[in-house]
Amino acid sequence: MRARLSLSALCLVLLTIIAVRPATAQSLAALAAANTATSLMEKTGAGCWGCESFGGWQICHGGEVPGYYNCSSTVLNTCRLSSPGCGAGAALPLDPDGSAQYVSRGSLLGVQVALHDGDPPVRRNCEGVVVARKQTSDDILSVRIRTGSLTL
Amino acid sequence: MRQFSTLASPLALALGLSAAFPLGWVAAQECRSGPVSLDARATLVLPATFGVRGVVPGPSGSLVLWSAGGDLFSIDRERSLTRILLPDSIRPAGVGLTDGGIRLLDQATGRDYLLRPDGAIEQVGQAHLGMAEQLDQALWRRGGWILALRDLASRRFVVRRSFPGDKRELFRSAQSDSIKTIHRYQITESSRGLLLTRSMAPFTVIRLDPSSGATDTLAAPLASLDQVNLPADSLFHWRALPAVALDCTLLLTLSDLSSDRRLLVRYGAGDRVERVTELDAPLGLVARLPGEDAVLGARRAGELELVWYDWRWVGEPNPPTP
Repeated sequence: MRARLSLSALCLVLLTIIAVRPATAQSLAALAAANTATSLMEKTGAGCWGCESFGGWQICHGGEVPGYYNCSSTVLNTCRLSSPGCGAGAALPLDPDGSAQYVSRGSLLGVQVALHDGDPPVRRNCEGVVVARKQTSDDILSVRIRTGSLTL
Repeated sequence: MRQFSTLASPLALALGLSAAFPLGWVAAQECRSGPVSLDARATLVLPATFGVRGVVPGPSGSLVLWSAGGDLFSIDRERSLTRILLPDSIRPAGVGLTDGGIRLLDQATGRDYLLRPDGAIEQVGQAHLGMAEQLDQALWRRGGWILALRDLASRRFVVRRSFPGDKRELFRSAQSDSIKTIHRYQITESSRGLLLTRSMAPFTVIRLDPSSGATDTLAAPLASLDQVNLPADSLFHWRALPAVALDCTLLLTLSDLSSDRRLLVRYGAGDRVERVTELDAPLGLVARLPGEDAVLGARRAGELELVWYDWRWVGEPNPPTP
């Protein structure tokens, strides 16, 4: 009985989280949209989602960037394989600079792609892939210098 | 310059290139290979959150590019960027430039659309996709589509023609152990056939005859990567971008998704790796631009930006400055 209650509680929590995520994403998205002039860098893959472990359950965790709020989920065993904005092609490079690609299908853990003030300059998913970051003016200058002329 | 508007003239401009674009330019050039030099000549900052999924270049210097989220942009010769609005339901797996407009193949449904210069869009066809087939990419070629998809039932990557009356299968990969590990390739054009670039290690490049389906597997770059200290256990994080053909030279960008490390691999005419260049900057080579000796790159310098590179064979003098 106790186990059944615990399970029910967990389901309730999960359903609440699943229901709230898109709205959260949307409000954050609106916020982000209003601040596009800031120096924050939001990488592509925006709106992509991954699975996050919550109390031993994998739950769907969407991105926080405007564009797509298509985090789809099923009850309990939550994450589906793809969301149209990213999942279907996610194993392919979406961003040819190579630094912001969602590369696995359905196995990204803890994806959060938006950077906010105070965040560390690089955010990685649980696989170590850079999903968002800031570049200083020196970083930018360095990239331009290193890629200005190439001999292959 | 960044410019956003809704359709019309930029679309017509992009379409103006279609007649001359397809194949003549490659056949007319001799097939050369050797070291190449790239010099950045222009850049264009892309909108925030836009990630390039595909690019279709035209001979007049214009481009059409799209994102996985369904955003479509045209870039004219003066490098002004114009958004082309699509219905939310359409997310292109491929884009083709034709005399009648822009052809779009929807990734989820396989519906084939024509976007006319006046902005009207209509469904003009339907690519057949099996119940267990997941479309990855579509390449418009000589009046039809080349489909690149994953057959989840057989756990194989498949390349198939989708032309009127011609649905031949051209390529089928080895069977994978699971759906998640199905080999995935990206298709690009070259003067010697289609190039299939495997996205993950060992980054195999396969040349595919788009008519007969005959294949020729190029020497894998991995053997040549010993010299650049690439530990085997780091390969999981590496991805290959589609190979870019410069006559008989192929350029392949390998990206470490956990850092800014890039490897630019050059294949020679003998289909062997001739040089691997290390680069510590987030850059990828995306496409060759026909009609001008230019290669398009994408790099992260604050924001994602496109870079136009002039390219020339090393040892040749610089072209005269206009």
